[in-house]
Amino acid sequence: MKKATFLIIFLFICLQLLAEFDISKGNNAYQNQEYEKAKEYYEEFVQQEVKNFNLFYNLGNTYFKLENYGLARLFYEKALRFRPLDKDLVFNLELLQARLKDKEENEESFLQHILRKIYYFFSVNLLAIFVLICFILIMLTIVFLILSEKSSTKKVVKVFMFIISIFFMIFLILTILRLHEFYNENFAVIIDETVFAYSGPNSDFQQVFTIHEGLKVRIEKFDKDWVLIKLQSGNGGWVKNESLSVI
Amino acid sequence: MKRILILIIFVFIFSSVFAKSDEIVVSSYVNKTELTMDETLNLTIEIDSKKDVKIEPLIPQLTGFQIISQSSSSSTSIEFINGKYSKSLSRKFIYTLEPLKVGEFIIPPIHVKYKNKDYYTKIIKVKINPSKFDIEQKVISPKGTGREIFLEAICSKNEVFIGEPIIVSYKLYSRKKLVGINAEKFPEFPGFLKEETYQATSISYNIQVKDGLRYYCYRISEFTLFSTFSDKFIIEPMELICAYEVQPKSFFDFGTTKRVNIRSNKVIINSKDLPIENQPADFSGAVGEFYINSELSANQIKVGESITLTATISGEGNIKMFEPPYLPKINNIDTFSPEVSDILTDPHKTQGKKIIKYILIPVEPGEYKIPELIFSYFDTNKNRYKRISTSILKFNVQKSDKPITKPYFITPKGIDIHGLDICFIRTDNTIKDFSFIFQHFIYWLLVTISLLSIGFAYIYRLEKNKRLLDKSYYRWKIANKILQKDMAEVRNTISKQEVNKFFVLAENALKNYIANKFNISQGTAKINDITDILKEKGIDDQLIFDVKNFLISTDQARFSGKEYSSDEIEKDLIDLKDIIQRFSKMKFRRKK
Repeated sequence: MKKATFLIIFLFICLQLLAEFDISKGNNAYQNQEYEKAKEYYEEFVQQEVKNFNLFYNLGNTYFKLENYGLARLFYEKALRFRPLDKDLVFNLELLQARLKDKEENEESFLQHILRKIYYFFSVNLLAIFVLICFILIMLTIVFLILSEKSSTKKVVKVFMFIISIFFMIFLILTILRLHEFYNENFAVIIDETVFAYSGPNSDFQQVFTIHEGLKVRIEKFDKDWVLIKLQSGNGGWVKNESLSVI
Repeated sequence: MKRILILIIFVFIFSSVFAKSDEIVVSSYVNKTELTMDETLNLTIEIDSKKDVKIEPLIPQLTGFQIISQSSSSSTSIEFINGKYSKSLSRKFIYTLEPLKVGEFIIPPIHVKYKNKDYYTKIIKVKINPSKFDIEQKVISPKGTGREIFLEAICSKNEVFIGEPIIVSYKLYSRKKLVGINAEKFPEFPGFLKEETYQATSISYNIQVKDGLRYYCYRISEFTLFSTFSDKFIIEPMELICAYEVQPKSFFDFGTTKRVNIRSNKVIINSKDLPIENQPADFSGAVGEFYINSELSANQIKVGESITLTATISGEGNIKMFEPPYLPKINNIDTFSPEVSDILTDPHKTQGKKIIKYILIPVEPGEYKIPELIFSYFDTNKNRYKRISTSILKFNVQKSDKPITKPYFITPKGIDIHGLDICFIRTDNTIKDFSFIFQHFIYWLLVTISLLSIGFAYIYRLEKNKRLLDKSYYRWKIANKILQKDMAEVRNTISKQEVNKFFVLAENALKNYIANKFNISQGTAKINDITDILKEKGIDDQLIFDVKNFLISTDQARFSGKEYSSDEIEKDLIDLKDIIQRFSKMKFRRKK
């Protein structure tokens, strides 16, 4: 009975790991330039809370073709979370930004550009694998140090362990930072065509700025139906909850 | 008495002369009593006296006027009438007044004080009429009319189609003459293509009247805007710092300069999308009103020579913004990218023409027809699309005397980019739901195994150390190992049919096993000693009995000289295995 239970659990986990979703209908519709249909097919998987780079990227493209730049930006930004350096995605996003009404400052220095490339060079999963490999190596070296009696070999192993520990720390810090960014950075995209921001969570307050669909904003606070957002320039304002969508 | 009388007369005459010389006469007058708003008035205050007096009039608050300048002059006149000498001094104070509003006003009596005596002029009535300019051109009152100074942003249209020109001009109105104007903040025009058509470089003005008030009007700047997409645009105000002189309070006060910061009104422009309905396929964004014509540089050329087709699109609109019309392919004629130039003729840069020159090089002789060039634009007056075209042109090409060569003068250009589009979708038909690798149990299983390996290694190390220090423990631990080795040798004797050796080795195997397990010296292990120790260890009697029997039987077999069959030997081996198995199943504590 016990064995059977373990087997079922194991098979369930394996099936979950191998579970695949077929998006060929959406892809075919897009290739036939039937963007409305493609949108519906892709959206089915989004409703099922499937998270996948290709799905978000393709859906972003579909919304772009439908000239719904707000939702196109939203799905591009969702895809960007998985692959921040994907060339096609970055290109499409730049093209999209050129069509938005609100200009965003994306200028970065050469040094910032290099650092960003290094920071995002490995995916979070790859970093996690590196962390695991380094951890196993450190454990093995400790085992070796416990069991070994030759002091000359121990010295070499200690140096090896020191180097591996440095790599372990680097990969661990990068993984933690990336995970923190993934789970804690609250950004949203404006999906309404024109949105007025007020100085308080009510339209009776003074209007402070006007923004348009497709603009990426940072979420600061929620208050019932209103959200306090912050622009890249640092200006803050309250907008209606329904006018934006969280990335 | 006579002398007294002469003295009295003399004193009377002199006193009357001196008395007269101390008096002054103050009068005031204006150069006209009726004037218009764009004229000025000269108010003169004249002080006549017999001798030089240093006084000045005190000008009261004037309603409907402001003093813009003042000057003074003095004159002396000497007269001889009937042999009589008289001298009079006249001092004039001339004030130039500027009317501030239309109506009838009174210049109040002007006060002059001399030797504790007050002198007043008469009141003067002045009528101010509106200027001709004001009557002819009724200016719509902007926000801020009635203020001393304001900056007005005027927009030619507030509702336009994409690409339709809008003229935005900034005019500064001031009741006072300004001595300095500095731009503090220029407006930005997001969403528009901007042409700056005027920018003030010096302080110049004209007089304008708004709602009956006279203003100095300064033209600051003008822009022509073309919206690039549809939206409701709010153009932020322009900000200026203006300086004007504060009028002196007295004749010897030279005045000061005061600065004020002013901002214009916001301009709201609603840009609309061009209608999609009936939009021609060749529409390239021209908005306004246009005409097109074309001409050829020659009617007759030779093969290999070039001919220029010049198309001119003239009119009013976004001339710079649209693409030239497409010239259809003509057989046997090489065509090249046209040369386009824009000529704007009006100050607002909305009127003018776009000249397009197509270079054509025929490669075969014959009669050629240039098809009509079709140009589409959106007519903002009629709110619909219009298609206009040139007429068909003809020219004749004759054979060339020279050998025909392909034109070689074309310099290589960059690749023609026709447009940008997003990268294509990812065509993988199956996708997996994303999850982080550390969300899988395998990841943590490996981490746990790695951690446990240290624990195992540590325990192993401790065990190893114990074995090195505790001999009895070491023997207890290796008892099974030695047994296996001994049993292998026993089995070997059976295969070799060495009967005697079998009993020796079988006895030794059992003795060694018991000796190792219970830490007994192997050399002194006699049968009775072994059974005693086993009793001490609490081994059950049956097993002790079997051990004893086995050891006795092997002893007897060794020394009896009897021949044993293989079955008997097999039986002994089974007995031995049984004993050892029973020992291994028993749980007993090792003596430390």
